[in-house]
Amino acid sequence: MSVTAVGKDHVGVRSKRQGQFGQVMHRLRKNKVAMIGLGIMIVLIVVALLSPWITPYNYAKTSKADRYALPSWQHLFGCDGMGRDILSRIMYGARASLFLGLMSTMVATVVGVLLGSLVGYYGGKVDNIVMRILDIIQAIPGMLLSIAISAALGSGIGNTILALSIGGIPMTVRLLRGSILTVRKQEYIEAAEKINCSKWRVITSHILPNSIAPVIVSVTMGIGNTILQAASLSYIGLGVQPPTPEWGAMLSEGKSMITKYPHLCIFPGLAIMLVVLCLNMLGDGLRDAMDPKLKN
Amino acid sequence: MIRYIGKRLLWMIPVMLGIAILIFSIMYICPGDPAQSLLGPSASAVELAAKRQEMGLNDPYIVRLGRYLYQTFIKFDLGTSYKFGTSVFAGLMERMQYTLVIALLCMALQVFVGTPLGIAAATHHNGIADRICMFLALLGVSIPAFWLALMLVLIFAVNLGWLPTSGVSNGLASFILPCIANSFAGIASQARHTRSSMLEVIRSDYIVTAKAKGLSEKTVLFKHALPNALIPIITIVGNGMGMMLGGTVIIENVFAIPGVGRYMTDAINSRDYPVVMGGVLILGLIFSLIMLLVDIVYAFVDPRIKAQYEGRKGKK
Amino acid sequence: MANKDMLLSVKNLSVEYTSEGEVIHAVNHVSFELEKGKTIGLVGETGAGKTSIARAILRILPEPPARVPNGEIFFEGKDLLKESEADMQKIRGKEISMIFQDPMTALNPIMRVGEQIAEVIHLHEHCAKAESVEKAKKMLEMVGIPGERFYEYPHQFSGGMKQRVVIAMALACSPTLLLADEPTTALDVTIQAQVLDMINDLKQKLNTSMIMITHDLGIVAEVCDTVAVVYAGEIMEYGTKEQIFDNPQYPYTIGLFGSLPDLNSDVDRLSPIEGLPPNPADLPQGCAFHPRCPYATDACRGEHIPLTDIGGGHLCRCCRLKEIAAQKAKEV
Repeated sequence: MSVTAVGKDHVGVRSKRQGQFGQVMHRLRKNKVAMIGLGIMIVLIVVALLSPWITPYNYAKTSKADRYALPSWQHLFGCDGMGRDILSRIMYGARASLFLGLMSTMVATVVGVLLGSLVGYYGGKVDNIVMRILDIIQAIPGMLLSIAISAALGSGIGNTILALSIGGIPMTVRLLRGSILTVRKQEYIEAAEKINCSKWRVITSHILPNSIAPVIVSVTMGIGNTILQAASLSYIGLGVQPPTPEWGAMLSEGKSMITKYPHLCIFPGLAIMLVVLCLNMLGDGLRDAMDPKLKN
Repeated sequence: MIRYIGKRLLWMIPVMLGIAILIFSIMYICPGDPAQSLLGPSASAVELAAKRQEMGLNDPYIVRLGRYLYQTFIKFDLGTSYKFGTSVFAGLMERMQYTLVIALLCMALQVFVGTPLGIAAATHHNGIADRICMFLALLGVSIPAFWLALMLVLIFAVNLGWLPTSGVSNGLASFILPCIANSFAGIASQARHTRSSMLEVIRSDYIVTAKAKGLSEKTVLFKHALPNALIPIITIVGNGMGMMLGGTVIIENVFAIPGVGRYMTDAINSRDYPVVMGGVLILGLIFSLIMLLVDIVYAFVDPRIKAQYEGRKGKK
Repeated sequence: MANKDMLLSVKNLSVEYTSEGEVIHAVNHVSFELEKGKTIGLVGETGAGKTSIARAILRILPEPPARVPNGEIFFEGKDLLKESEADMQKIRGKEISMIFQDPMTALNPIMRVGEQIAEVIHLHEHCAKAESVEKAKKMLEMVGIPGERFYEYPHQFSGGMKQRVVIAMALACSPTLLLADEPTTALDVTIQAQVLDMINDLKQKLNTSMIMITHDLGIVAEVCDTVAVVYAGEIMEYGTKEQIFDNPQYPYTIGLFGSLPDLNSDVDRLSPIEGLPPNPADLPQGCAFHPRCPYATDACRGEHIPLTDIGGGHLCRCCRLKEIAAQKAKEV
């Protein structure tokens, strides 16, 4: 009866051919806020990588004369209680903070995506067991769990990554699982199964690409959140320990002198804020680019 | 509905057991010797060995776990603090008031400040109000709470002298800065989620239907769009409570508030395991109850969910 | 207004959407008229701009991204595009109401269905709450739903039932004009007939005029008096139902009939219209149908072709009518 079957959704089909990824990138590139965020992030990553060579002073060099020096042309952000240049320490500290944020989120995402696609695709008993275990992990407020694990494992970068990533796993699993359950019901998955695609192929080339978008967005935002958590951990004396320069640890060191020398705390905090802000700007942009109907 | 609530309450028993096993295992691998921290650095090797034997620290993991679970779930005893020698439960309850006051005040701020901001932004979509709200919200979710706390102290307590820097001796005034610092991210994320939920609902077909009926824009917005937009927000509120409870741990440290969070961080530093385990268990219980409450509220605002809980379709 | 009985007169209406910097011309210079008590059918493929026309009349286009750059919509002598928003609110739901395409999403999921009907009655008839509830129950019964289901929620209704609720809502204040946007597309075939009959009955009972938007020629045959064939946002052929059905002139219209199965003739294959509708952001020069038209020549690709009267008010936007007629004669 229908005379329109021929022409249905032709526009969508045609543009899918250009590649979803390309389209997303195209839209993202047009988003100024996201591009600013990305630009600053790239600069910060480059600074972090090159920090051993480009910091104005050695981050560990102490100087009695410069103790608690206020910001000046010699020391733009001033010096800390041991006369170390704060700008250099922030530049060098970017390594620890960014590395912690990236790695913890990555670990949480990899484990989360594996588990999520497993339970999302197979459902049934596996789903039940995994989700109940995640219920338990999620019943403990995230910060509390990170603090406990961090205390148990002790300080150090590797342990801190572990402490930060475990709390992030349940959310990724839930997000992906929900998304997969929606995609699973679609007819093209049934079609792929009917033409005898292997399970692995159905998951990797049909289900994941169509359900991963919310995960990608949450990962971008997650890095920012993890950096915040990492800083909180170091602030209460867990996580990364001095003398490694890390922003949270620098704040922790400076807090006792904050009334007299506020610059000890202001600059590391601003650095954290800048990084997280940029990641959130980028994350917002990604979300809009992946789901343009949300942006209008 | 009652059956559903009953089922959920029953389900909390295995969850609490799970939390207990998890936190016990984490504390089990913790480095450090509780006997040492109990007796102090001057204790002799013989004394330490005797104390370890007495505390059952030499027993295998499974025996100790069993003993812990028996104590906790059969005798309802969270044990005795190594450091203070007092009941952990009493210690937690004594400090809970501060933590709960902060968490609930923060929650209220998040809901009653964040939601209107989000609605305002959505209704002025792409306008100046929207941009300002969303920039502030973006900033809000990007500021470390403890740093914000330090800055607030610096400005309002140290420089302006309007509010106390720390402690709880000044009544409500003592809680103003901690609450602002702890809820800032929550307010921001509430505003962001309310806005995007609102924008999504405004595009729904039933909003067009409502407009086509001749309803005024205000009625469409507040009678049709808002109730629907708030449904997904309820989850954000529940999760926010978790964030607030976790956040108070840090904030109590910044402001030297003698709440559960500070009790626990002190306990972690002094290897006072019963306090840590008891604290996690109690906070986990509170959080689980809140999430249950969230799910029940869901059923009251969304008839579809209610029908799901009641396991029936069709006629009432 | 030349004709006294003319209820609605749309003149030169255009609708544009802006999406990612591209301007999409959804409706281009559409004009048509509708007499009191009559029904006009807007026929065309999905995406031809039919819904945009209806929404423009009610002024419920999503703005932005939609925009009405030009046109006039005279309804009972007033240009709706010039009315204030407050006046439009008095017209919507009372004078003009609309039935939507997808009943599954057209109802507010957390509001009782009856209340959704009572709301519109309470709003326009300024009666007491209790009275509007009574009237809403009566409306429910009129569309074949027991009045006691007033207190149920949309998820407790099937698709067909929901569409009945939407119809009850649209007809609750006895509007003079009903915009029916593919009212049966989302329904099962068996329900389609029921719903269609019901709309027809109620329309006659309340003497309502109707714009029936559809891609289904069967529905047009059943309910319409006049027909406008819409392609790429333009009216390509316009005439009475008899003119269009007995003597289709425009190649696209001919194609539409060619892709319908016919019980009386013995054809092995239906002949679908080749190709796809044009991209509305980049419409072809000249006749918008030329890339798919079997009769197209250079003339069709050049100038924009005007809508011309080919006798008795039968309008057609084609410059190859003679050739087409000749070929038809040869085939027979």
